[in-house]
Amino acid sequence: MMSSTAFNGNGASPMPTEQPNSLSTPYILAVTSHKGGTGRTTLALALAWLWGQRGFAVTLIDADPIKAASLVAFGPGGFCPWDNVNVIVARQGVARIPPKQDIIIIDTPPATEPLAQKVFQKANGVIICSLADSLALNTLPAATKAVIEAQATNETMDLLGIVVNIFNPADLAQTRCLSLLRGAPGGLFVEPPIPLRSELREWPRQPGSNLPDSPAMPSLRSLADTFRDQMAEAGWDRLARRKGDSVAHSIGS
Amino acid sequence: LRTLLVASQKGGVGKTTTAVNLATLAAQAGKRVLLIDADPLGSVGASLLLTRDDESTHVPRPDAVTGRGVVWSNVVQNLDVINPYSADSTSDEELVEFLAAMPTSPLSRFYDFVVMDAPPMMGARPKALLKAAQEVLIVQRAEPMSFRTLPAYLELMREVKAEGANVQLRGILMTLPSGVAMGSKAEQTIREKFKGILPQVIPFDPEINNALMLGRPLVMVQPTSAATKQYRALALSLGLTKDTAPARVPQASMTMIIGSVNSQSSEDDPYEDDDVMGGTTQAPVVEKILRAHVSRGNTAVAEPPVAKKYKPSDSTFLPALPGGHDDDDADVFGSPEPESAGPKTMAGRTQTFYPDRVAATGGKGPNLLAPPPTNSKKLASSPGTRPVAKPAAVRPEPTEEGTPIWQLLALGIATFVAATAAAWFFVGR
Repeated sequence: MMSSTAFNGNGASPMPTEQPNSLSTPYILAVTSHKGGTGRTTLALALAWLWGQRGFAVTLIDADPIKAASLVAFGPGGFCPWDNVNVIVARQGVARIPPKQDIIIIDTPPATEPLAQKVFQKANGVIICSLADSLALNTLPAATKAVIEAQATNETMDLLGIVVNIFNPADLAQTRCLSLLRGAPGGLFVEPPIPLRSELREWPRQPGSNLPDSPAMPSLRSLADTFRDQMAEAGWDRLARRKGDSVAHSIGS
Repeated sequence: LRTLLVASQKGGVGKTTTAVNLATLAAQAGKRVLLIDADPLGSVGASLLLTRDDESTHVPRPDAVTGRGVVWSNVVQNLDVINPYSADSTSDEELVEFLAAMPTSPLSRFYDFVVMDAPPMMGARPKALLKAAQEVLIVQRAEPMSFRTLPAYLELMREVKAEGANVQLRGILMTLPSGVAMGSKAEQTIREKFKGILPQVIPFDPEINNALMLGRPLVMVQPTSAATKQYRALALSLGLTKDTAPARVPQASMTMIIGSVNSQSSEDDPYEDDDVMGGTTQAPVVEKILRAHVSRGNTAVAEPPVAKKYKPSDSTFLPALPGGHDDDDADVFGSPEPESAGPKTMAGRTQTFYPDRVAATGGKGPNLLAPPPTNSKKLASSPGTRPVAKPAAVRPEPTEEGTPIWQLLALGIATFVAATAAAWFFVGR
């Protein structure tokens, strides 16, 4: 059974790359960054929570050596209490994906790390999480190039786009950088930016708690829908939105 | 020679900014400083707009340690920056080799201080850096994600210490995210919860972003900004600037100074404590004393601090990570893959995008699909450009021994001349 494949990377490669349109294979989404501290783990966690709330079976693989994602997602009981979300810490010998998953999200180290390259070999899609600062502009091309280079050996992998996180519209330097990113060739920038919110920053204070409601929520929901559309377009039909069916509409407000 | 590592388990907390500014302050105080850009992303280079091509603000030359990396001299007066990786590689092995060759390299004799900017915590690099350093400054952002993952780094330090490294923790530097004010309740809460946090705290300062845009250290661009003041106080308390030696001392007496620094740090260092990594961290500063000094602008040395002790099992520290820190096995999926499974190395990490130049050339955004055209690889395939930018000038072929020998000769002559001058000076008196 394709969906119960052990994710052990032993070279047998029973990957959905061979059957990209098969409904039985999960979409493997790598969330990476150009450098540390971009809120990449928070974005990966938020997407997992939002899609889990929508009813998709989501597995989040924590592939970051400092294991930040599992620190947030594991509640007091030592497991992730969110609906439909399963969190796995890679390299603990149990990186086995449960059967019948819809989406696998991998919290991936910065794109230029060799470890990230290994993840890209398994991924169907990659999101780069960035800040809108001048250092980001200096280092983003290298990260983008790293992802694109990985496509040479994994042709089915898409670069879904660049998300700007922790954006402070009151910061003039940031707004300037954001406009430069928006105008960047390639159309890789994905709207909208995720605003700076202390609620998101404080999320790890309550491990296992739900994605905190904050003014950043509309941005996160919108991004979750955008990426869902992209995954559906790539052949994962069951992820497609039906009329009026979106994360934005399915939750609370 | 003092070697200070600026490290953190987490990225984006201000490591590079801290390393660049501490190194700059030491250089401004007359020390000869070498800043090692150990981050494979080349964060220091990206901050100071140093590249391997002719776009660089300073001319890159091959490094004299392994010959693979590049060095930019006098980025600030007395401050040299070195990138130990070859142009198309970010491999752990290159850094490990560089660090092993560094102490015996003639290059290291030139400097009073070596400051190392650490990469993210993965692979062999963090351990190698800790082993090569005498002192480590941990940078933490005042937010839960940063402090919750701190035990992983302390655990790594314990491991390295157990393997015989002699690195001393000089404290934890807190940097504030946007929206957290200095002296705020959030800052106080973290101070109460965690021991070993330095009294200096780096506030969120938009000028840091502006300094990055200019490619210059914050302490030079904004000499009076809030963050600069804190970096000054920190540099003073770390002893990077307290010595008011002349800016340039003859090479002959340089070794004497270096020798005295070494003996001082091993015998009289008040922060010296073998027990540090065995379960206690140091709170190396008496806050009141230092704060009084800083607020008066007093440049005197702070009183020897009382080392506070804590046990990791105290409730002040969060529990260790599930499964502990796993540094050696870098395979996400639990089993090794052939090394050739994917591209191991990354070209283009020194590629730099300059917003101002883009604005000047039509206002288009950065080309995120590919690095800017002026990279060393391109230049390699299109000879005939400016000689400085040729890869040969940056990374000599192994057979091309001219440059290193020339450098060694120059070094020898300079040392001889300086020694003669010093001898003449002293004898003449």
